[in-house]
Amino acid sequence: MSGRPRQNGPAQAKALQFKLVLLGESAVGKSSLVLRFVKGQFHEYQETTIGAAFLTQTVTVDGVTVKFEIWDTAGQERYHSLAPMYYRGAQAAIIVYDITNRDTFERAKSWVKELDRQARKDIVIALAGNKFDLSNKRMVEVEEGSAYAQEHNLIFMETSAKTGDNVSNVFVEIAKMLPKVEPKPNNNGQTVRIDDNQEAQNGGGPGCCSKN
Amino acid sequence: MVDFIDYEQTEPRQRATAVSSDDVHIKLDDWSVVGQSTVHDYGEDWVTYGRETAVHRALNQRKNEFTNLQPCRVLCVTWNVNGQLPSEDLDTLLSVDDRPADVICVGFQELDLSPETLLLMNDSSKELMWMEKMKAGLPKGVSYKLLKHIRLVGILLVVYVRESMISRVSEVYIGSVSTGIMGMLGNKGGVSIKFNIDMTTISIVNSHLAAHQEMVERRNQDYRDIFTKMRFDNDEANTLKNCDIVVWIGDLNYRVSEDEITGEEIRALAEKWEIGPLLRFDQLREQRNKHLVFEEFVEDTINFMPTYKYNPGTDKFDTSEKCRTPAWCDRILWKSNTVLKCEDYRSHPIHKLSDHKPVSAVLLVQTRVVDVQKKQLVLDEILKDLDRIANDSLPQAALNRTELNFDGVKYLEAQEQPITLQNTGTDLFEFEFIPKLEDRSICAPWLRIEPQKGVVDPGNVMIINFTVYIDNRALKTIGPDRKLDEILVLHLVNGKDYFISVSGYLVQTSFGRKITDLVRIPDPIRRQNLLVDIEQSPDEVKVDEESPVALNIPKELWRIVDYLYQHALFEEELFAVRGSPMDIGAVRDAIDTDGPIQVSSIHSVAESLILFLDSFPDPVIPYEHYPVCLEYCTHFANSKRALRNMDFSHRNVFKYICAFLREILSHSERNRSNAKFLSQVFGDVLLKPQLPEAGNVAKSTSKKRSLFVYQFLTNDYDE
Repeated sequence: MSGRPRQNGPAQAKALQFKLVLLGESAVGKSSLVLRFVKGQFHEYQETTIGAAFLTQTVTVDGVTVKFEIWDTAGQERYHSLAPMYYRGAQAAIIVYDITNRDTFERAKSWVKELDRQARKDIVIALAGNKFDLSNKRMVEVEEGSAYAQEHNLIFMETSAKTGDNVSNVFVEIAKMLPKVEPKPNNNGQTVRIDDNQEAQNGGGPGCCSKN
Repeated sequence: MVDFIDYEQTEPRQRATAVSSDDVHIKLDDWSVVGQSTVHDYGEDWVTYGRETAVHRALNQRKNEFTNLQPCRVLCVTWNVNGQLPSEDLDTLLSVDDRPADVICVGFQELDLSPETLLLMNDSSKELMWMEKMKAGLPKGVSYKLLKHIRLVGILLVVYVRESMISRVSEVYIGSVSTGIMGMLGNKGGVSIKFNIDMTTISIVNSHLAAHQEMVERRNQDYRDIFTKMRFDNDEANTLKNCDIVVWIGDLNYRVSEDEITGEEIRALAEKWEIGPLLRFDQLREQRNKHLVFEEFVEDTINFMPTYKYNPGTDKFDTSEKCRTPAWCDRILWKSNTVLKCEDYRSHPIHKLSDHKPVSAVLLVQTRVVDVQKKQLVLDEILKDLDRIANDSLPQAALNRTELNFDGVKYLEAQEQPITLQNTGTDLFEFEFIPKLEDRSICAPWLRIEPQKGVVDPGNVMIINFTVYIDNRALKTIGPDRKLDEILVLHLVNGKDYFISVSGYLVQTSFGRKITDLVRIPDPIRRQNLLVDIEQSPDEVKVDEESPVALNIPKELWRIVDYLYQHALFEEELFAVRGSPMDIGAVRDAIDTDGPIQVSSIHSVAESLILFLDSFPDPVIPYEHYPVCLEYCTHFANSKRALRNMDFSHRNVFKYICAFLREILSHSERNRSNAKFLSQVFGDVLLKPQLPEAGNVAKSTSKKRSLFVYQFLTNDYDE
């Protein structure tokens, strides 16, 4: 009897918690995406990240809450060698490029390759073409990003941290792909166990667990 | 306060469900106290979202925002059946109301008075019969399910729930407390069934408290024992205290007090139906008015005759020998944290088989029902709040800079630059420099950081000093481009990381250069006092293996030795006394720029010689010849042969140093030098193992190194 979890005390279910890392060339908008997602803000002149910023954010997907521990890394090449400190062990990554800058797309591809080699095998990767609000200056066509993502089995979205377009969608899509260790209890299939004949037939006496 | 929802409005929908009473299933198995409580998963819904206690608590606090109240009619019946068989039908007890109840709770006392039941707690056939009778007496046209039952000797509690409501019921538990003799036998005590309807937790307690007119305090104590000791599911945390509603029924055995009025007078009043005057002497009311028992509980007005004690089979008060005074022993009380309305509180004198009359109450309770969509909205808000709190409570810091540039660092000359780390948040934080990936140390050997970790209070500033200092050990880690480049990771515990870049370059110096390079550079390695940026450094002297060898030994070595030769031959304690850092810097600049050596102490020059010899990337006796030399350390002919196999420049340096040392020794009567000491000092400088040796090995090899040198100090050596 003591093996059954208590149900009317404080919640004891473990949090679904995932480490997510943002990677990509400098100035593609990694920190802006996080700031938009976590605080709903946008700064036109976002400070350059020199280090790795840490924030948390929870999303609810299909009734399951998923807590992200977000590591927003410095994009400058000089810090490249430090990136594994952050993507190592991460369950999810968002690789960001700037749709108005082709070089950043190429850089994004090399991040995908690096993660393929060095990151967890089950890492969920999203490719985000950011600065969608500047699509009139676009240098990378949406089809190109989408095709690359499809080929490498990545979630793909064009986003705008400035307008907020698709920002939380990226995180939500990732959350959907992440393994849910705890199965969702069935809301509709509520059954109550009561004293009934079946139990009597089973010889369910005192202390006999009726879960069979 | 939430308004009471009128039951009438919602009733018709529920009433529409009409199912045969055959659907009522009764479990006829073991009736003992220890039972298996039932579980279902409704509560999971509530719990799953609340992954953290904080979420759970916040949801609980805001439950009014996403729950609706739904009425639920509960019929509670208590009857002391005096051990009788169920000879009467019970529809006159359970089916008397126009509107059938949603939940029916029936509590019996003295169900079975047989000695076996009392002592052996075995099955009771009477219980079985009473259960069958109850099943038959449940309201018609409504299907009920037996939710749970529990019996403690003669105290039986049974709860039925409308079948159509079963999906809203969860967390069903049972518990019992025995208050009989020694708390062991269950002839007195209480049993309880606890369950949730929707989100509302309800416990029904059926108790039989101590008997007899004078045992008031005993009854009070029985109540307290039952209330405080009741545990559900053997869980210490699962008590009657955390219920939304507790309904307490039973033969509480409180009598009409005979303190101010005699038994005869009581009986006379009772027979005249003078309920009001009699109630003034009701012990339970007295005790409750004094707050001695059933604190916080409510009881409805009693409008019925005393329920005890009758001649069985009649409506006549006890005429037996004992002639018990009439009393309201059988009661129903409740406490509730939501509005609860008692629709009826009555006795059922039509039932005559016992010396007690049954008492029942119709209670209209309200249960909380979750609106799933509203709840999701509230939950999202709570999670957002919690995220915000979590993010706001992360350590907040400001660094005055993240780049440090050390231009023109000279060998053995410390340069220091501070960084200020300010705590701009509201809580103190810890910081520490952490190694990168597989690195063991947090930074390169040429850099020192102080402090490497610490705590900064809000508003305070920590000054972190970065010192670049290049000694022989650090020299070996610096590339030929002499660039200093390092990124440090400054970690705020439970927060972000900062990257601090340290860069700079080492000013060109002969220290740390290969012997084979130095002999190919006839010019000064650095122009005097030229400290320009490395990128356009004109003082760079290119050397490659193809360049012609210009010198027998490095000219810098010659400069130092020549100085000592001229000034130190008669000096005592040469190589035993340390020089000054400033002097050593002066020697460095002098030999690197071909300037004059100007020092305050000759010992600084002597120490410079040791440092210079020690700085070669490949020692004077090259690594590859080291093992052979150790082997021949006592065999001079072989040692000489070993020497002949070495690179020309290295051999020259070795010969040159030995010749110089022999020169010193030749003046030993003035400078008190001795070959043993000098070979010890120079043995460890001229010969070095490529890989560090363990302590005990190093001790024996050190001796061999000095023996090797000793041979050359005590013998003339000429090729």
